[in-house]
Amino acid sequence: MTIGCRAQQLVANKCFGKCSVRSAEYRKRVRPICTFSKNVIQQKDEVISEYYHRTLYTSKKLAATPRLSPQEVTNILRANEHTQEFTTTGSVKSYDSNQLSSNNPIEDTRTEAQCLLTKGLLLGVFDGHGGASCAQVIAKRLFHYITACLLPPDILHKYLNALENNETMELLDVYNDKVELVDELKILYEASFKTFVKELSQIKDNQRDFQMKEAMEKAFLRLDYDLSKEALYKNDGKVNMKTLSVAMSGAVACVAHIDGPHLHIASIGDCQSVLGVLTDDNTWTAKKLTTEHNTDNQEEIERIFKEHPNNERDTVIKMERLLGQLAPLRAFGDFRYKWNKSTLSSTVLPHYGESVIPPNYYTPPYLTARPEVKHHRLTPRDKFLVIASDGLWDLVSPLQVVRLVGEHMSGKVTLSPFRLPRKDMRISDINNMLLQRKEGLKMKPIDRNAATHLMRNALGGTEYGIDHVKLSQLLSMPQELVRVFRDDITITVTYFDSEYLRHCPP
Amino acid sequence: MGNETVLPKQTQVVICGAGTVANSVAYHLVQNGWNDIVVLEQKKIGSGTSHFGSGTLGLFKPIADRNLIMYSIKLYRRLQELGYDIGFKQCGSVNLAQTKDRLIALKRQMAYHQATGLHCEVVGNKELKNFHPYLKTEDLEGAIWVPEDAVAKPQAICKALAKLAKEGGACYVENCQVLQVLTENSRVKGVETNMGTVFCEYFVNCAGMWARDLGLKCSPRVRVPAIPAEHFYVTTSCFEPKLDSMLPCVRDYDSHTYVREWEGGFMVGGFELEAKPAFGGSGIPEDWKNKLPQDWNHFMPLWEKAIHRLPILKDVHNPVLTNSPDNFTPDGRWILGETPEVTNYFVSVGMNGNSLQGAGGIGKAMAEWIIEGVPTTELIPFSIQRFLDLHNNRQYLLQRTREVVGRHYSIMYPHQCEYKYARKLRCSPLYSVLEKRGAVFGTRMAYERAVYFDSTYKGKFYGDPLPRMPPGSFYKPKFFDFMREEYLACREGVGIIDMSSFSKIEIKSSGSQVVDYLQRVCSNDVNIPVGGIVHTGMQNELGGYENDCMIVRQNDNSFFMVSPTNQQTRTFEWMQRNLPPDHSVALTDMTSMYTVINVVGPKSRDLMSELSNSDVNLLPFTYKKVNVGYASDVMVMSFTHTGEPGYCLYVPSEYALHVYDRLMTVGRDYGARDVGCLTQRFMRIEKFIAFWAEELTSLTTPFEAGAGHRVKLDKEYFIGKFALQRQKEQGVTQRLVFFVLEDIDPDIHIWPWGGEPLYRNGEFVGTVTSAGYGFTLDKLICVGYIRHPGMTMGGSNDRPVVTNEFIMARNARYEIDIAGQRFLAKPHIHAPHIPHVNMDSTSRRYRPTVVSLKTV
Repeated sequence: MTIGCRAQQLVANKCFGKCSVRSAEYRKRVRPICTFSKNVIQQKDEVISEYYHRTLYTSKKLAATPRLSPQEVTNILRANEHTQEFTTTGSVKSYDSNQLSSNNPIEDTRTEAQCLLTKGLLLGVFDGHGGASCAQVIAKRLFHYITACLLPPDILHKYLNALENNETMELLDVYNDKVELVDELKILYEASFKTFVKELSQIKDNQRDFQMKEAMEKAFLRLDYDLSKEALYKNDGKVNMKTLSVAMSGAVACVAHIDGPHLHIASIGDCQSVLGVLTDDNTWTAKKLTTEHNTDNQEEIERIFKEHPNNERDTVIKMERLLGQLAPLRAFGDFRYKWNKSTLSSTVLPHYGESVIPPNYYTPPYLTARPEVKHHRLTPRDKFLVIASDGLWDLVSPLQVVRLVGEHMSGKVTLSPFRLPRKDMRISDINNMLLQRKEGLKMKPIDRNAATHLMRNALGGTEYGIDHVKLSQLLSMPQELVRVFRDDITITVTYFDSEYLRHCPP
Repeated sequence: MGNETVLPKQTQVVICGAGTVANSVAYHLVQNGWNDIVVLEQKKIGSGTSHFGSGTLGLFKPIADRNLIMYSIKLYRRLQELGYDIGFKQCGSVNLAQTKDRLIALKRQMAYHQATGLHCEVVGNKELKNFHPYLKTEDLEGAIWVPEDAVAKPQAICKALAKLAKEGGACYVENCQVLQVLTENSRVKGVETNMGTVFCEYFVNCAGMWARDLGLKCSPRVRVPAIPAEHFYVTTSCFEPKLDSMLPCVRDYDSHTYVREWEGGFMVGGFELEAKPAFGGSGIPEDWKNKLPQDWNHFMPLWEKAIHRLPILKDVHNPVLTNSPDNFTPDGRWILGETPEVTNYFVSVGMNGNSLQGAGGIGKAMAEWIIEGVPTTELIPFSIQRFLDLHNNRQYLLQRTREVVGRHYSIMYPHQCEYKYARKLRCSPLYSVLEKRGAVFGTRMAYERAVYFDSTYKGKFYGDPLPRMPPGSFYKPKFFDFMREEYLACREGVGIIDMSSFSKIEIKSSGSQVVDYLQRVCSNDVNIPVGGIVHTGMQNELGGYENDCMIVRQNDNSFFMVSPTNQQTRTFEWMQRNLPPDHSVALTDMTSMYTVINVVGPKSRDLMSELSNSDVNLLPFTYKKVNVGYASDVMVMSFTHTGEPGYCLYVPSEYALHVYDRLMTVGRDYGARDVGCLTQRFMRIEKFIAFWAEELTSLTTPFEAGAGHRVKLDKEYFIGKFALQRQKEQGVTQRLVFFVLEDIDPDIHIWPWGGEPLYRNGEFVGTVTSAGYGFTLDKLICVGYIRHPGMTMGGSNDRPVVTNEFIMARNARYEIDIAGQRFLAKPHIHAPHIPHVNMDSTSRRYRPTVVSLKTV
């Protein structure tokens, strides 16, 4: 896809026209709801300062922009990369993740965490819109809601006891988490979560007919419900501007839960996940595990039509958007499409102005956070899972992504020095290994991290390989222009242990 | 009363040979009122190998052997009482153990002997000196004293039995050589001799070491796979003073020697590890008695060991070495019974060095079998039907005989004492591939079957020696970890088992006769839809098992039958005998046409679907012909021999390698692993699947074995129907029960392996038929028939009925005796519940698993 096409498509953000502008304005007024840990801020500052340094030039003069050096490009691309390896036996060997911002601050968030009370690894990519706050909050909270829904009753009770006695009993071990919520919200959210756990524990024998689909749906919907409740809660008649800003922004999500050979994907909106499958004849195929909830998805449109009276047919989906405004058809937050009109008028309108109520707003809610949950049994041929925000999928197709990661897998071994796997090897076997390595050298990547590799290729890839000029341009664009050419990109690549999957119990 | 010089024209029974066994058969026939008998002897009565022999009568043997020997002793004692000078002395015996394992082996034997009424006890070295003052005992681990063991003079008994038979009316013709056994429609018609022809109804081959050659003098030829080996003993002159004539016999197993008192001196014999076939391996010469060299070089190692044990022998002057050849069989067991080739042609040979010991009991058993038409005691281990043509191959016998002699005194580790010689004979098409993948083989019916797979074997490196079975053990087998891996493959992934050795027979007719025929020989309803499979027994008139098999209906009038490996000869014979006389039904042995592969485990369906590109979601007990890989017409049957879900593949043998290769290559992603037959055995025991020749014998019925649901009494007549009907009404007197051995630690204790006695409230009630490790239960397990106490030795008709209430009674406390130590055994009428593994992996619902919590 050429940059030109991309520019046309990106005339507007997820929120249409004015509203996006408005929220951008609003963003400046509201205090940040979270802080980044120190080194991130530093990195960010550096990068951001570069941006501003270069915004002195107009787009016409772009060609004249001093080109970034290869090392500068690499520094920008690798700023947020992370690799986590797992030594315990399980289906997941490791994962690579990375993020590249376009918005400032970045509206994508991500979380990866090990469940501690039940088995399983959770990986999530969240793409915020209309501000970053909703995505930031979801990234922090959603996994707790999911894990709570997975707990069998006895463990749930133990956990509740621990909560009530202020004992530490962690649900999650979160990796690479550099975001800290402000204390005020932390306390509020903890209280909401405790209430939820308490209510869960009062449901009898919920484990007997445990359904992963229901558990995931419950977690998503409950968190969305809590976001709403927290925003509407008035302390001394005063609206909490922090929680309201979370409720006014939105986020789409894609979450994977992996336990042994069981992979569950829950998603809302247009983040996508793709499985890289190596077929019998050594070719890569892509298996999409999510369907996007946008107007390209006819089933989604039908669903929305069904939920509203016939006379709204022309207005409920308009210009490929929900009520002519919102691109994703399912999302967290975005309560301006969920609350009823009177709530909007009384609570939100005073702070956000008239335009907060969407046109043709007759039969809310129009938007839901109910995820679509899919189960996939991992086979030894499933080599990796890519979850990414639409910033990546806008640039490259799922099959391209799978091929890129697949090549990267065979190429990256050449980044480490050659070692014999065991002692008693015959020359012919060593020769075979070296031949394989020689083959791999042809694909020797620049980046060890597959997510970074994907970003580099998505942004700089041409038919003839990586084009440094193109990469340099896309990474050094002025802030007000960059959003037109590329969205925030968040990628998580999870690698599976084929040997484990071969032998794991069914 | 003298011997006849004229051959009668006609008689009922002709017995060929006039050795101890032949005379015993003749004697017991006349005892039972059958006196129209002619005994043919090529030279003189007892002129064969019967005049040799140590004369020892040892009861310390496997139970089936022992029961016959016990009768022999009873019979000889009576002869002595009748005034025959047969030198019968019940001097007892001491059986020595030089190693701990030997002592375990002896104690295991002792356990079932004690339970079944043979007195024997472990004696310490000091006591041993009292029994036998000449013994060196310092290097012994222990010994077993068997007071009822005896000695006698073989030749005197041989003569005495002949005399009694003659008195009873048997006609002995000496110097008469059999030229040909005449048959008509594969039935004995007469015997042609150098003295003319005698017509007869029955023929009994008791020709000792000439039996094999005699078997060939018949059309069709009769297999009698036994050839003579040189067999040595040394006699000393009389000691000064004379040795106590009641000095017990000594069996020093670990030195492969035995010693008895002999005319005031000693007789020392041996079962050497490497024996020599007699007469250089060629035929038996006319003047064979002059061709028995005294090979002191050969015997010296044994003699030295004997001197070590009895230092007094050091000073013996001029010991006499006697070379007394005797027949040895390929597996060291007697050969008894009616031949599968010719009806009414009976064989009782293969005495393996001691004809006296078995003669009495064998004579009785054979006489009763001839008269009743069916064996009256448990004789399956000795059945002549356990052989195929290959066993009668002279080259094969020459090789095998070398080690069979010594095996009589070797420790027979359970499942871990494979033959060394005459191997790699019958091999599955997959043999070479499996060998490269680390298979360690054992044989059944000379068929090489993988016992287990050594997964650490790196077959691809040339020159690596093939994996070998480690030294045997009565404890946990040293290769057990491999078996556990194999089990896990069957439970969690895919286990691949080569079962090609199973016997396969095609049964066909042009019309529907085959259905009528099978309905008559099978106790289950075999008139199933085409494409169906039925598990059925074939019963004898008494309701006992003659076969346990799977029957597959391929067409309206074509069936395919699969039965256990060692049934290949026996079942074919049984089915042939019961064929309708009009030749409308044809039987064809298809054993070698198909390679049989079990694909076992929860991922087997996915694997087979991928390999066959088709839906293999078969209903239970059905089959379908599918293409697997590039191969066509593979019969895929929806059962396995493990009790786990999966498939049984019947692959035309030319496709075997291809199909196996695909299974393994594609199966890699499904966790496929080779599985050996010992793991398969343990798995089927855990599923309480009764097996032929262990739980299912001609003396046990489906109701007793817990397979009553496979008997359709509402069907038209079938063989055994009336007996089974009666049994169903009256109840069973023995019942197969499953036991879990809760107290045995598999890592520490001796394992049960079969043959252990079972006690109920301290009373002996049965014997373990098979035992193993229950992988799922994580416990040792065994099965065995339970009877009322005191009813274990057979007997009267009004035996008390064994009910579930009796077995499971709250106050019933069961114990198993393993090598002298009793352990609690928990009874089950049905196999304990084992969580079912589902083949529909994809439809399995996910449930979060709890991580083991640190204490909160």
